[in-house]
Amino acid sequence: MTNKAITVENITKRFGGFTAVDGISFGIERGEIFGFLGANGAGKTTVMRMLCGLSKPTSGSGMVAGFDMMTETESIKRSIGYMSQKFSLYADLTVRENLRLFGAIYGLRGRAIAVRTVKMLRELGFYAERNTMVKDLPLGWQQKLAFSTAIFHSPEIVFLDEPTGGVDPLTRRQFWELIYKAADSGITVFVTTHYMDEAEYCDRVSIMVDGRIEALDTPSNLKRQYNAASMDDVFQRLAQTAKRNDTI
Amino acid sequence: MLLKFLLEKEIKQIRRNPFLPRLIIAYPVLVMLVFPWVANLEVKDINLCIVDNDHSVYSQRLTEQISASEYFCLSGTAATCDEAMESIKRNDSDVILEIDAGFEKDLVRGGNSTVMISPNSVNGTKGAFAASYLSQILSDFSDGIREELPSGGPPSGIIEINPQYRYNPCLDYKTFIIPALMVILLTVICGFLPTLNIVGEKEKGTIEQINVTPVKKSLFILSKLIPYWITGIFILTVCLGLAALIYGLIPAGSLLTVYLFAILFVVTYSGLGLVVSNYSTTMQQAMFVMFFFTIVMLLMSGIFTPVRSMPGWAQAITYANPLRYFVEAMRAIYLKGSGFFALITQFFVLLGIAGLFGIWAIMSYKKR
Repeated sequence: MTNKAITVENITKRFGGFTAVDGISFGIERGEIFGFLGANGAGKTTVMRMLCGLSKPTSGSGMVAGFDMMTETESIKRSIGYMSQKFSLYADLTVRENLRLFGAIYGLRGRAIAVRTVKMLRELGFYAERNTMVKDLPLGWQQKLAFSTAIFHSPEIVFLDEPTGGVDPLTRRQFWELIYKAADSGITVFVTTHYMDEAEYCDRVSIMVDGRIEALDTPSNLKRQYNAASMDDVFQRLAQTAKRNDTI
Repeated sequence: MLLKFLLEKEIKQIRRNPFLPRLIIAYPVLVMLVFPWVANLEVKDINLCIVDNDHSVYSQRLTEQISASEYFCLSGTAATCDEAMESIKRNDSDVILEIDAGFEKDLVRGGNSTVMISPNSVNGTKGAFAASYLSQILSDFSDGIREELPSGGPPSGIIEINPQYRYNPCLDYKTFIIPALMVILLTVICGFLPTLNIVGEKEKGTIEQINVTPVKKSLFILSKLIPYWITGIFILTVCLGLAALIYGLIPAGSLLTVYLFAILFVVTYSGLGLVVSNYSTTMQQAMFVMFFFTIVMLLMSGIFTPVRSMPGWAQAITYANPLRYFVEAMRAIYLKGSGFFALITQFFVLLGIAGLFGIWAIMSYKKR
């Protein structure tokens, strides 16, 4: 295995005559927190779906967690975690039952699941709520739980698709502490967001415009390059060059 | 191994559903208690209006004899035929019996007389039954008169017909409809519930989460179907018990054959549900499409009306209808006591349809 978690070479995805992703290339280091930014319709979700093995690129090549994107999607799925913008734990199962289910899906044994569940819930301060139905938890807790479930099986990479949508600032702060902790333990974090303050927390950031990556660097380098005071300025400048309708 | 965890999830979710467990218990009980009485094609309590133009002893006797029958209620007498027609229009009467003036005189003199029967045939079956029951009473009546009259006259019937109704000796409609009600229950439970369950996960977005995990799609779907298969067999068992307890109706054939066909059928019909769920993105859509197919299949299965009396093109369609084979098999086992080998055609055709739905379900899933 290389020391890169993800490498992508010239990936293109077309839907009929529409080119959603237009020949992008990038590499992500192990343990890095990689911010993946772009306006709605820029192609972020399409890229993420390809990296997760949910759809295949029309052309190009890439490796995710050491597996080929074109041929080894099943192996990729075993080595990643995923948290979608739509809350997707089972609301009518308890906290513990959700962890038990997803642990089992990733091949953990019943005993190992039980041990990890206790450890994880204690760390989160959730242990008292272990038998609470997920739908009865506040939204912020649900999001934290969804993230913890996504990394429950210690994946190589975790993909977070706008994980903090609709969450209050305090909970967002706590959420990012969880992300840092995961990165410290060696998990590569690939995160999309519309909050530019969150972009500042990332090790490196890429900004997609109209299916291409227009900028990729650390937040401080990007600000210097675009002579901007904040990531928000950088984003505004790049997003304004977009020609696509932003509601695609 | 993983299947165990997935099944555990599905069963917990079904049990926690505020509505499903009650439905699963209450539905078969309700259907078996109520519908054998309601879904009934027997014709009883026909309202009869008599126009007696003769006012004689014999016409009075005929009226009494008819009123004594359990099939007829005397709704009234009318002075004229027009008045009687009015009562049919008001829906007070179903059939008119008009007795001519001189009825008694003709009988005594010539041994021959006529009456007119006019049934309301808006409901053709009911009209036909009314006319035939009434003719039966009239013929009994004339036999009685003939014996009394001194002139005697020729005996009316030389051949006496004495039907022996096979497999349902009392012509009890309940016996006929109960196995069909079981078929309808299994259709609804095993067709709709898994379909709505799968599309429900699509709507909530949880299926997307499952798609990014290494769990095999086929295993995931299987974990959704198995609980409903078991539910279907449980419901069938409840129905079999109720049919025996309440109606004393016990399959003439082997229970094993009943279960064999039921298992094959629930697998087949949930296959259709899978296909529908693959093409639907919302519960509304899935519900509507399932309703469409289920109603067509119910009406074209022979459950309510015999397949043989459908037009040729409709009969051709019924060959592709899994319900047709299942209901044929259920009635044959229940009423005639047919064994497995008498129903081997139905078995293999159902098996074939199950296979087709299975292949279709897999292919339509992969395309998406």
